Formats: sequence, structure tokens, C-alpha cells
Amino acid sequence: MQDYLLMIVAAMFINNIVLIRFMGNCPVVGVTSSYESAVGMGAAVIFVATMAGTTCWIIQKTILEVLGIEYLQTLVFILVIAALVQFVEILMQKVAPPLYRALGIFLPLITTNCMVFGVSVLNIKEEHSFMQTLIFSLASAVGFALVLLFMAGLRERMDATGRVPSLLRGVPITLITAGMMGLSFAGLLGMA
Amino acid sequence: MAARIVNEFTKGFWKEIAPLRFALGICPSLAVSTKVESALGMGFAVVFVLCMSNVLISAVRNLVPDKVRIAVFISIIATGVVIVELVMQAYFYPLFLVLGIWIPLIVVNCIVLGRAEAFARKNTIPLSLSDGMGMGLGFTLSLVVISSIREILGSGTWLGMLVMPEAYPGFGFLLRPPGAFVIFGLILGIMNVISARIEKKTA
Amino acid sequence: MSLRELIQMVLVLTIVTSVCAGGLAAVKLVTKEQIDYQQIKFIKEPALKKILTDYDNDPISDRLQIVTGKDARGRDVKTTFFLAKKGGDVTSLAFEAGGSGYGGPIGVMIAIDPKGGIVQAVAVTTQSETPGLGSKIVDDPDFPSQFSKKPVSANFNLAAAGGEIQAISGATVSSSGVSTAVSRGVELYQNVKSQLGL
Repeated sequence: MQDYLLMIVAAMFINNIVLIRFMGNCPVVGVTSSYESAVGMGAAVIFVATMAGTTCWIIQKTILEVLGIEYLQTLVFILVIAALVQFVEILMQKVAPPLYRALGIFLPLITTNCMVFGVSVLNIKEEHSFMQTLIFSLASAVGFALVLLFMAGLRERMDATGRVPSLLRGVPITLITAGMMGLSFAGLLGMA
Repeated sequence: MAARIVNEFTKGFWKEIAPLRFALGICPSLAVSTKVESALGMGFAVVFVLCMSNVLISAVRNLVPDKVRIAVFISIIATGVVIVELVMQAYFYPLFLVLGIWIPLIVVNCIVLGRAEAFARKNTIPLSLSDGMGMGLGFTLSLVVISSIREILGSGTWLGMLVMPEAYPGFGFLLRPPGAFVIFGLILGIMNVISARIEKKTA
Repeated sequence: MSLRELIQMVLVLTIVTSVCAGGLAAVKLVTKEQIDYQQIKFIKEPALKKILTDYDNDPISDRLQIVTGKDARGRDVKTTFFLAKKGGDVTSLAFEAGGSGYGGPIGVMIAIDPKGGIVQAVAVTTQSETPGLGSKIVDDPDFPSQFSKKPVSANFNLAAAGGEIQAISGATVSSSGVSTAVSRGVELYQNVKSQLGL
């Protein structure tokens, strides 16, 4: 149990997938200009990354390793993720139209979100068990969503004060802020 | 025709240099830029994948139904990436160990799919090749710029050679992940200053 | 979406993915040999260099694989043997065996002189022991040298278990991992000695 707790803290903060492992930066820069879209993107990623992580793990163990074709991992995983995103989109449209209206526009963007693919590969690389895969994928995605929310909140305030030099406005200040955020997350290092 | 090919090639270096202008492909630019050597390796891997995918996608552009085009593009790109993975393992194993997970992650590099969708599926093979080459080399150039700053100031070397005075202690912050974000942000700011100057001059 | 469209889509996707997979299989086939060589070179060579002393060939190219047992699913387990030669004669035979330490599995490369039946040297290849304590199995040169120049019939267990090896103080579990690996390796060598044809 303690191991899982440590894993959650490490994946969410200490080795944060965005700030320390550098994955999924495009949405952090792209969709954090408003708070609502950050919430939508975060929720969609948590959902898809957890499903993709576990699905890819099952496929790796039951198909790729059994047939000895691990080298096709990259090709297979990305197709699985693309198909999964399509499937989630269709399912959401049918079952939960309000949810679809809120998250729908973010779904196609997730296929090329390197965080989803990265988590799936990391699970295999670090030889996680199924339970670890589930927890690691979920915790990493939550860590991603947290950064997205923090960043959106900070950017709204920065825009409101209007005190950012014009040459750093937009992407540059977002990246510098991300650096500062990474530093504060690294402060949790002593916990694990 | 020749002029257009040259034009598509050169736009990747300044006018449309992907990571620095459009903030595309930020993730690898941050992750593999602690050393110039790994930046070059990553850059050339992306050049190869981008050229291959652009050429193949341009070649099949009239055969693929619109609805499945993304799936087809992704398959072609992933194939290129796996070829790079295998070849790098076979002939550049130390580089493969350094770049690690970032080689398979080329598959989700926004630049590669972005060029397929925005350029290769609408243009001829020679134009797509020169576009891919230009964009890929532009990406490599951005990586080299960022990694040069980080390696010189961070560890006092460039491409492994000592360039700073022996006593230079190294600004370790730049080698850590937060340092990457700050440096990248500042470079983008400097880019803004330079382009603002150029615009003023031409206006 | 009409049926014709659907069939066309499925057809295109199937063709594209099978061409891709086929192409990759071909590339894999071409590069397989070289990849194996590189992986051995960069992961095993440092340990090989440590334990093999007197040879004039490339032991990584002169390697052979022998089936040495079966795993839980009944599939063959193969062990790779590296042959060090001098003037065409095999001077040593090196291979890897494993034991478990405090932090995880420990891999040990063992060099045996096939003519005299003597363990020439051992070196740790992979380990994840506690730095400063268990990691002494790599850093402390006195520990691995205890295994050197002993006949394969010697008892390679720790002294506490009735063998001839003194454990590093404070790192008994790690030491035991290494000695288990060597014992297993020697046993394996004696089982397959006849198959090696030396």
C-alpha cells in the first residue's frame, strides 16, 4: 500500500510528467489561456490516458511479447491510442451528450498529446505490473491536469494585471512560469 | 518550380521555424537539449522521419479516403520512427541509450503530423520533400541553439569540448528540467525582440 | 456513411498497416544481428574486458548460444557463451549467471578456463544494490577476486553456508547474491560442458 502511495506522489509531483519529464507541453502552452478549456482538457486526458495506459499494457503482454514482436510497439501503441480516442468520442456522443459537448473538441488533440503515448511506453519500460500501470497512468494524468489548472489560473491573473513585458507575453512567460512551477514541485523531493 | 522548392526549404529556418515560432515540438526541444550531441542526434532522427513521412504521404495523397487519413498518416509516421529506432540501435547504440524514450516519442511530435496534415497531403512529392527537409533542419537548428546555451553555461563545454575557463563552476540549474523551461522562454522572448526590429526596418 | 465507403476505408487501412508491418519486419530482419552485437558490446563488454585477459580475437563475434533449460511455460532458455581465443585455441569461456541481492537481481559474468576447469575471474554486470553498502560487490576489488583461480568443483557459497567465500561485512545479502550466481553458473557449466565441444 505504501509503495502505491509513494508512486502516486512521485508521479503527480516529484517526477511530474509535464514539468520534469517534459511530456504534454503543447496543451500546457496551447489551452491554458482560459480556465474552462483547461478543466475540459485535463478531464479528457485523465480519462484517455488511464484507458490507453492499461489497454497498451494488456496488448504488450498478451500479443506483442507472446509473438516476440516487441519492436512494433511504437506502431501498435499509437494506433491503439488513436482508435481509443475515436471510440471514446463516439461513445461519449451517444451515452453522455452534455459531457461530449464539454470535452468533445479536446478529444482529437489527445491523439498527438505525447503524454498519453509517453505514459503507455513508460509503463512497459519500467516493468510495471498491471496494478502499477493503472495507478501510474492515473496519477501521471492527474499531475498533468493539475499543472494545466495551475497554469490557467496563473495566466488569467497575469493577463489581468497586465504587468508582463509585451515581448514575453503569451508562450514565453508560460514557459518561464512552468520552470518556476517545476522548481516548487522539486521542493517535495524530500517526501519520497 | 525550382524557386518554389528552394522557398519551401528555406522557410523552415526563420520564417516558420517550428519550435521557436509556433511552439510546436516543445517537448523534445526541452528534453534532449542538455547536450549538443544528443540534440544533433535527435534533430537528424526527426529530419529522417519528416522527409520519409512527407514523401510517402504526398505519394498516396490521392488514394486515401479523407475519413481515415489521420490513421494512415500515423501508421506511415510510426513506421518511419520504428525504422529510426532499429537503425539507431544497430549502429548508434550509445546515442540510442541517451535519447531513450524520446525516439519512440517522435511519433507524437506535433511537427511531423502537422506537416503531413498542413502540407504533404496537398502538395507534390518534390515540394513535400523540401518542406520536410527544411522543417526538420529548422527543428535541428532550434535544438542546437537551446542545447548550446545550456551546455556552455551549464557545464562549460560545447559538443564535449571545454570552452569555458577551467575554473568555471557550471550553472547546474540550466541542466535541470526547470532551467530548460526558463531558457526556452527567454529565447522565445529574444526571438520576439529580433523580429520586432526586423519588422520595424522593413516597414 | 455508405457500405461502399466503409469497405473502402477498412481496405485502405488494412493495406497500409500490413505494408508498414511487413516493411518493418524486413528492417528488423536486416538489423537484428547488428542490434544483438551492439547490445552485448555496450552492456556486457565492460565486464568481459575485466575478466578476460589473454586473447587476440573478438569474443563478442565468437559467441555461441546453447539451450540450457526450460522456463515456466516450457520454452527454451538460452545462454550465450563468449569464447576468448589466442592463436586459435580457446583460452576462456565467459557467460552470465544471475542471483538475487538486496535491491533486485544481480548479474555476474564468469570466465572459466575450459581445459583446466578453473574459474579465472568473475565480474558483476548488472545490480541495483544500495550505493556505498551492497554496491561494494562492484567497487571492492578484494571481494570478486576470492572467486578467481579456484577449480569449478570448489564450493562457491559464503563461509556462513559452508563455502569458501568471505562476505563483505554489512553487505551479506548482496555478497550472497553474487556467490549464488557463481555457484549456479558453475553448475550450469558442468551440465553443458559436453555440448560446448571444447
